[in-house]
Amino acid sequence: MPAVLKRREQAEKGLWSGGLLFFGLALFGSFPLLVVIWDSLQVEGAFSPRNYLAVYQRPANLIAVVNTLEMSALSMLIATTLAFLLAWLLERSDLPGRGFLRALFLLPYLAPPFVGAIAWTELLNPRVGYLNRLFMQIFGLLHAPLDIYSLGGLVWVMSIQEMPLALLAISTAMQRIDPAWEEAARLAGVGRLRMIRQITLPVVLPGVLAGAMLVFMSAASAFGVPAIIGMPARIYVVTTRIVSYVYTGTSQGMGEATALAVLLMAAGLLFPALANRWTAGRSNQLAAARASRPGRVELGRWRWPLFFLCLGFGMVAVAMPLVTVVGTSFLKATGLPLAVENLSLRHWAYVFTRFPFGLESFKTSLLAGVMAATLATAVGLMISYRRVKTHLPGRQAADLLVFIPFATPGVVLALALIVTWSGRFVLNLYGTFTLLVLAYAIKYLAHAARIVAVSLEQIHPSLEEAGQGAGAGKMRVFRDITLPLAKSGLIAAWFGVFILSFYELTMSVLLNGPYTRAIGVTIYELQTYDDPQSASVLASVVIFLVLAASRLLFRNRAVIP
Amino acid sequence: MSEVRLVGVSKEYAGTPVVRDLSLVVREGEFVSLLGPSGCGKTTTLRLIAGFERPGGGEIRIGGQIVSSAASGRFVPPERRNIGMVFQSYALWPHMTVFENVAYPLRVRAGRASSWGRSFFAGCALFAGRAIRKRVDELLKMVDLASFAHRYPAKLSGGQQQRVALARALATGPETLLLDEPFGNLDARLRESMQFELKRLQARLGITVICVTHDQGEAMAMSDRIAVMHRGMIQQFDTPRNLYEQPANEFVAGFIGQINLLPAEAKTRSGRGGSALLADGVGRNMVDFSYAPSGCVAPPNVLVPPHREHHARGVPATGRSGKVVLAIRPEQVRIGQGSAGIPGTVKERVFLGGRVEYFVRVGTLEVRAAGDPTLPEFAPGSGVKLEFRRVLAFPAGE
Repeated sequence: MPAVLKRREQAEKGLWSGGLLFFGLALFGSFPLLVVIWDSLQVEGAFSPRNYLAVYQRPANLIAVVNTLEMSALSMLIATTLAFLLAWLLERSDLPGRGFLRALFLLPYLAPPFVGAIAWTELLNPRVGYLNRLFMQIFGLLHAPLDIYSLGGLVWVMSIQEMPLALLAISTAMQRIDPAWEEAARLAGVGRLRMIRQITLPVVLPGVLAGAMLVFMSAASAFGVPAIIGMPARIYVVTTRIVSYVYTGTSQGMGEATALAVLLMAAGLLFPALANRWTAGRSNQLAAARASRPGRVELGRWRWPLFFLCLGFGMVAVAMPLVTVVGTSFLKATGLPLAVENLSLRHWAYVFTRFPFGLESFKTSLLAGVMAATLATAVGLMISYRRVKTHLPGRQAADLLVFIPFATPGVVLALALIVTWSGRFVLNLYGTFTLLVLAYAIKYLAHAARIVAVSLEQIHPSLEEAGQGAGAGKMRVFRDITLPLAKSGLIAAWFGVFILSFYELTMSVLLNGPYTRAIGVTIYELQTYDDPQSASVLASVVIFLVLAASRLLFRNRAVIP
Repeated sequence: MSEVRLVGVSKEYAGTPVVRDLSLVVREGEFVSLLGPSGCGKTTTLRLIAGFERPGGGEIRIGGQIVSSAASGRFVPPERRNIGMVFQSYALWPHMTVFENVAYPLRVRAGRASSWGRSFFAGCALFAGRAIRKRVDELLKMVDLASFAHRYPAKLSGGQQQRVALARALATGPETLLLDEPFGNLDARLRESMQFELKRLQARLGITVICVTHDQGEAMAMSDRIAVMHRGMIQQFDTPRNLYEQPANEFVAGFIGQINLLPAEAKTRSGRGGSALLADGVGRNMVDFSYAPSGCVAPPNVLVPPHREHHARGVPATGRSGKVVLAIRPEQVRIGQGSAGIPGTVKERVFLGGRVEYFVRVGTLEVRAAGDPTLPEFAPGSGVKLEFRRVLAFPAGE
């Protein structure tokens, strides 16, 4: 068949560039994970299950696994329940101020989780926490009523940090309810409650479950919150155990770290795959998202009380922690009340002049963020273009190569990169800036590729065909038509990866080197070395930068993931 | 110079044939429509001509030059075919103004010319810029949009967008213009005025136009010839009048205009016609017919001009059993109350503005008949007599 030959010829051109791309992706994304699995099965150069036996016989590790499950499951329950109620109010009711509330509740999604953790330690520290002192004053208590350094505190902070994830997933599902379905049910003689049970809930259920799953996996692979809140209380989870193992630096420690990492990696990769299979047949029945939303449920006299309830919750859960962090950075000493006479710029001056790592780590993260964002956006564009606009082979393989490092918990990916690229296979990148940039780029590539793919899909093929019809070749069409039309998506992808990389902590903690101290690591260390005020200074910098970047993003009307 | 010739072209998607062994010659300066129901392969045929699809078999020539050939593997990419195209969605680039949209093909061409003599053409760039501006102004004036040059497409109405798309397609002065459902998104009134405008423009520029449409009224109004397509094949390629009066097969007869398709059995045959017994359950109503012009089903797609030569007349228009389908236009049915004709009962009377049509029950069949405006109307339930004037016969069981 000549047609087949033609296609093969065409494919060959694309294969070279594609092959190179896949090779690079596999080298820094998936191959290191295989090395970790291999290593976990090796003891002193021979195959042995001893790492696993050693790891899973140690009570401390078993407790960590149980803690992880408990923390993740509880946060999932709380976050999903809260998100479901909020999503319903925001998407399906006539609650006032929906736009503002939506932005408020999505804010923790933009701020790094460890900033929230720092804030809550400042609020609920058993000795000097602001809220604890407030409660003691009001109720005349002798002891602080709440202690953030507990499993309960961990779950609380985790739930608030992860709630936006569930809120986004459930909101999207609710937006796709065609009001006509509900109206048809009402016409069929079904009451309001039965309609919700038999029409609304089944339709949004895949979205709710997907949101819950995201929260569970995100909580299980989180490092910042369990490190800042759990470790002082000696509550270890799998991620913090892995990091402590790596910090011991012994070969036995590394072996056991890999054995723990394989468990986490398996959960990270299998969980979404199973969930995908379960929801695959259901989610595509949803109607396309609609701009106008007729048929909102009227709340009647509950309208304003519910608004103030939401507002109050948002203020306590979202705004208060951020204000606390920024406020603390301007206080003379921790624990002083927020009053004018207690304010000073002392800590800001200290962090940026005398403290050796302040300015330096800020610069490192800024540069690493810029480079990782540029790399991830460029590669994401190449991959998405191949997938959306061409019929070249290997598109599914590319998706998999992008998905694997994304779904792998950051701790595991960083460990894998260290194990693999510390001179074992020619390259020694351990502790280098290059490895930091590569780690960020490969981890967040999926994020960039998805946003770019969405914006490419929105460009109707006829727009490009019209360019060819006008006499422009493929490259010229790409430059003059495809690229300008995909611009907002590219910008969104770039800023998304930049923000995530800039405040990244989990991988940076392990990839830390003498010249590669990320700002997240410096904040984390300041916090654990009991200098929360200096930590607050840098955390405030992160908050300001993130808010500024997200404003730019919104102004570009870009896609929010 | 811009004759478009397709010889034995075929195309399949994932094993499903979409265009089968299709041959078609569009003469220079001719306006040809590809007409058919959705999924008949007409859009794929247009995309094959444009070069957005590669044929699985056969050959396409534009102006004598081979642009696609499955056998030799020769393939001229769309940007080198010198054709203009108006897309169904218009495909105006949203990030460019009306002016920039129309200027783009000219700029691309100027850029291509300068690539083989950069230093020399650096001086010409200024000249080219001025020439382009003049040409775009001219084009926008032609489509009556001169005052909209600096608007973005999103700020234009559907009809205006359509005219921009047309101006852009004609910018480089192509000899062939391809139209993909060009009026599909316009309302009926605007559609009609655009159709006449386009037809006038085409006559003035003398370009070859190939238009894909599913609207037979549109095809009839604009085309010199129409290729009726069904299941990836051309069923008939002929003038609008011939398609209406002498359909080549049952599909074309049923697709173009209103027609009665009545089952019957041929009893006697002469050279050019015969008489048949209507299968109406009554069993005694005979109808005289003549054979369809092609005699039988048109040989698939071998439609080379002059277009009627290959029609082999006199081939028996019946299947093995003698079963035929009689095709009669409503206006060829005379409805009256005289003594001659086939008896029937008026079932329904429909007022259609200029005329009245009746649905008449004849045994188990229903016949649509146009009323004679000079006669008084018949009320539903009244008995009438039908006379069939022009009756074509096709073999049954297609």
